[in-house]
Amino acid sequence: MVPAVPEYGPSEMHSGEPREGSSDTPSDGELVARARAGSQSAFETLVRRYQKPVYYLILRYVRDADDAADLAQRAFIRAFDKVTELRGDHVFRTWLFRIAVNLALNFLRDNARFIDDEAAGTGLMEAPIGASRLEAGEESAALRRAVAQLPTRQRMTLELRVYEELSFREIAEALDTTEGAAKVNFHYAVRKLRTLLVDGDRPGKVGKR
Amino acid sequence: MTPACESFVGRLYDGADPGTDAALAEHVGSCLECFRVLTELREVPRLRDALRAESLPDPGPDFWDGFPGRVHRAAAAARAAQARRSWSSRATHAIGGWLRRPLPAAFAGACVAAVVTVVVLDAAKLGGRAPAVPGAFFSATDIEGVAIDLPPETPPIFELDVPLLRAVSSHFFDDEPGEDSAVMADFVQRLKDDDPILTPAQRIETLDADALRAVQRAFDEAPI
Repeated sequence: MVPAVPEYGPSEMHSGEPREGSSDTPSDGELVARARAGSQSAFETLVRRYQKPVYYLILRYVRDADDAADLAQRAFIRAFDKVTELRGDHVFRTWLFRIAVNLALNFLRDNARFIDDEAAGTGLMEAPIGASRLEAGEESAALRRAVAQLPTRQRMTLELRVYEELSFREIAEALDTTEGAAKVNFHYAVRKLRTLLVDGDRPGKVGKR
Repeated sequence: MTPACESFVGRLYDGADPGTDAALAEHVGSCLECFRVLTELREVPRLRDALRAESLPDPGPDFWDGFPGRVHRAAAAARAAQARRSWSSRATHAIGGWLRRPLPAAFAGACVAAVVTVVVLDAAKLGGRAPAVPGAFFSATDIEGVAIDLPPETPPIFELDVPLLRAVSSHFFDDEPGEDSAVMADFVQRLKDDDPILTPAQRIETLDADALRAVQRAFDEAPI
């Protein structure tokens, strides 16, 4: 039984390692400025700050720990290479998430057949998701399968909102869209999840309450 | 959806609570569309909690401790590889970029054309001084070993072999191929590689009439 990930989450990311900076911890902006000037330690601090969110963000897409580790590493390398191109109005975190999501989507596209075969073998992509399957311990997995069936844009919006607690403005930045479009995508994602879950054999029940 | 609805829905997305927002509560109470949105958004916390409860494998503390170092090393390796690639492609890229600019490219083309023209003209002048016939390329000594004066512009290619010349001459003038064919073949072998009439690989037996006449003319004109 793999352990849950209690230590990961926006709360951890936000509490010990503030994005806005404090008296003793530099903000993302300060670290980015130092990294731009060539500071390796500044970039390493950024890596430590965001390694878990980036890793788990990618893992939710690729579903393989080794692939997720490799892609997370590439996301940081790409960010490091391009950090000088980061415009002042871009938030590092959303920009990094955007790189990570793009890498994950490219990976899925390049390995579509292989992943589909694996999913077929494990029942990972079974559909539709019936509410009857939402027994104890299965609710979140069933939800994950439902999320995997969402259109990419809606899925990305939902995950950035739910897991990373990005604001709609930040999501819009990360996905290169408008704030209104991010809200609409989120709304559609929620509506579709409800539909996918409620259309099972126990209508009206969404998971275990 | 009216502009008012859009405003209220936007507030709902941003987390406004009708329980504490009287205007929002009033609007949602009278607008079915916004009420549906509110109902759907009320599912979000439960969906969020369920999604966050998913167990994902934790690579462990060693992985997290070593991750920044791995990123750093991989980035350094990537930069080194990129530097190697850029070094090897820099010249190509520079030439390519230069040629993409029409004016410098035209200038370069003109320079190359000028150089080629000079070389060709110079070669033509050399050709004029030294006709492309075998006799023009001889320096010679007579049978007693006394030097034979040749035009100063005649480039010496190899020493004249008088017995050879006699044999070749008799071959052509007496029209008796046979006994001297080996001598002639040897002579032919010693002609310049790029001679327009003969090539070193040619043997006397293989010469056609035109080639023989050309060689004969060469001997007629040879400065002996």
